[in-house]
Amino acid sequence: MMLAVSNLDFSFGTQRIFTDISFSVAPGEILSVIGPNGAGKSTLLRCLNGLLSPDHGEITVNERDIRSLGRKELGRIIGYVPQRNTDTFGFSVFDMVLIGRAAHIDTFSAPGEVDHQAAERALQLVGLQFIRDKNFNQLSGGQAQLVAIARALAAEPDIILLDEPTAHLDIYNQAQVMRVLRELTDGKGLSVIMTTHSPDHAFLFSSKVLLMQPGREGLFGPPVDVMTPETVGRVYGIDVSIVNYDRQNPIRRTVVPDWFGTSGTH
Amino acid sequence: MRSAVRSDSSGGRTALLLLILPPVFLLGSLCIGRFPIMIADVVSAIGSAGQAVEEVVRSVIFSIRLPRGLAALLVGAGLSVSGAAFQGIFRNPLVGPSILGVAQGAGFGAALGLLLTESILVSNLLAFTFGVVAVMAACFIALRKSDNSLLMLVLSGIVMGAVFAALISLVKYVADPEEKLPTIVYWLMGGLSGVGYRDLVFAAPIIAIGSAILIALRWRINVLSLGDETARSFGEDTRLLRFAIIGSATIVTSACVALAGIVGWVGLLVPHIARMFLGPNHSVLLPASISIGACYLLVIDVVARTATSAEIPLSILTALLGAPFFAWLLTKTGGKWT
Repeated sequence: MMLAVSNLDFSFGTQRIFTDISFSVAPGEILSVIGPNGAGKSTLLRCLNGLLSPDHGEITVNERDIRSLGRKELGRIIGYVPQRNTDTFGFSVFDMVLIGRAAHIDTFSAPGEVDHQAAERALQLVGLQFIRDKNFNQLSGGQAQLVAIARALAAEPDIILLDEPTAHLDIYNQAQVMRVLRELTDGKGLSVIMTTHSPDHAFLFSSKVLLMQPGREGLFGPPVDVMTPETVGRVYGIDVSIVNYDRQNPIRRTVVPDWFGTSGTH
Repeated sequence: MRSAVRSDSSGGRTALLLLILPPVFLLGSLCIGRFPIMIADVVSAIGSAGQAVEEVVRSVIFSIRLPRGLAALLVGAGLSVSGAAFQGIFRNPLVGPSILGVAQGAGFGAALGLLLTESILVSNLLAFTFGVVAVMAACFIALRKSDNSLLMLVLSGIVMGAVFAALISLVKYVADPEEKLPTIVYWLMGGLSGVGYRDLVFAAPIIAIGSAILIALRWRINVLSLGDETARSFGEDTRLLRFAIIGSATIVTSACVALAGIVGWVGLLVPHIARMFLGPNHSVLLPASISIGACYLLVIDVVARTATSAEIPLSILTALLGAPFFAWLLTKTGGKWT
């Protein structure tokens, strides 16, 4: 499914959070949303799945305005992986994933065979069927993140939104999460929209980047076009160099911030 | 239920056990009392609708112990299922069914009824009505702030609880200390002595309907327990759902208070016991809380009417047993519930 956003503005009360955001995501694409703290990355995700309403602008899924879709319908199209995955009671992993089926289950019904199978498949997609009976609260950060992804996948959505899916994860678990997301987009035609604080991930994994700059329009396009030393430096307010560390592969770039303002002096 | 319990057969056995426990406990409770009755006599009395046994046995079973036992089952089940539902939607295992002020509201209604009339029916009706009014007022205050946060709801509930607790004190203060005051005080301490079929006819349908709605929505409580934002992202109309659950739990609890007075600790404790045995999945937890809560309050009530020559008020027993048990639970788990 094609998700398109045009000229989105959002304010909390009188405070403008972001302005003039436009982009589109096609099936099989990964969009990384980057920008400094407070630029409105998480807020943008919440607009995309209808948790918040923008002031102006339009969000469409296959050319249908999401405001014309019901909550349940939207829940079946767009999956969401929140930044914090808290569970007060310690559900089993399988019960946790099953909760992702909510949009497919009538209000007065319980999950049936179809839902159990979908949850089972979702766990397999993230490779965690072997921990299905474990307590969610006792999982490592990496496993908990993958289970949260499986929970979103259980709804069999076309688009999945992730709020900083690699935050607080070590480099191995970051790779696990990104590998799963890559498999889902390449193999299943899923669209992924994720926020991240790591510009390197945007280079490595994304088809497109949305660079949110406070007070100005968002920059959207392929990572190498959008993320230049000028744009990244301006948006984050710190001088950066962008280094291509693999001559065979020009997209493998890393952003090196100039922490101490000493660039060129050593 | 199958997802929480590994194999279908063990899930089936658990379900069967939970189903037969309350009737078994009820049968047992019919035998126990200052006038002991053999289980064989109880069975033949029930089998023949009382024809085969002495008049006095029949009278003790059908006029005294059976309605009282049924009331204990109903109140225990109702308070427990409401408590389990509230713990789920408030995402906090430390809340009870009265978190929104329903017990104080209902207590005030009953006290007012006892003060102004001689009619038990009027007291029951007032208790039920003011329990619902207290929660509606709490919800109304919370809704005035449109972001619909749980914290706001809980705080409004505490406010309404305090208001109605003060109104109860006011009723006691103006009540005639010779006649009315003791009645009000004893009633508020909770008890089932003198409960008859007339009271059950009023309370049982309300408790049954409210509990049935909670049971029908039990899996949704899993979704709500992940928090508003996550639940909404899964396509849930969280506000509607939450008020349906609060409404059902409120009519159940109000009817329980109208029937038995203010009986604390049951709705807080029983869901914990159920969770210890069967896990946190509300699909299982709510039915289990009904069964365990029913048996628990029946046992407490049998103790209340047999332990001493006078009746012991229920709330004294539930607190004396419940509070230490809860303390033990706290020390054992260190406040972590999972």
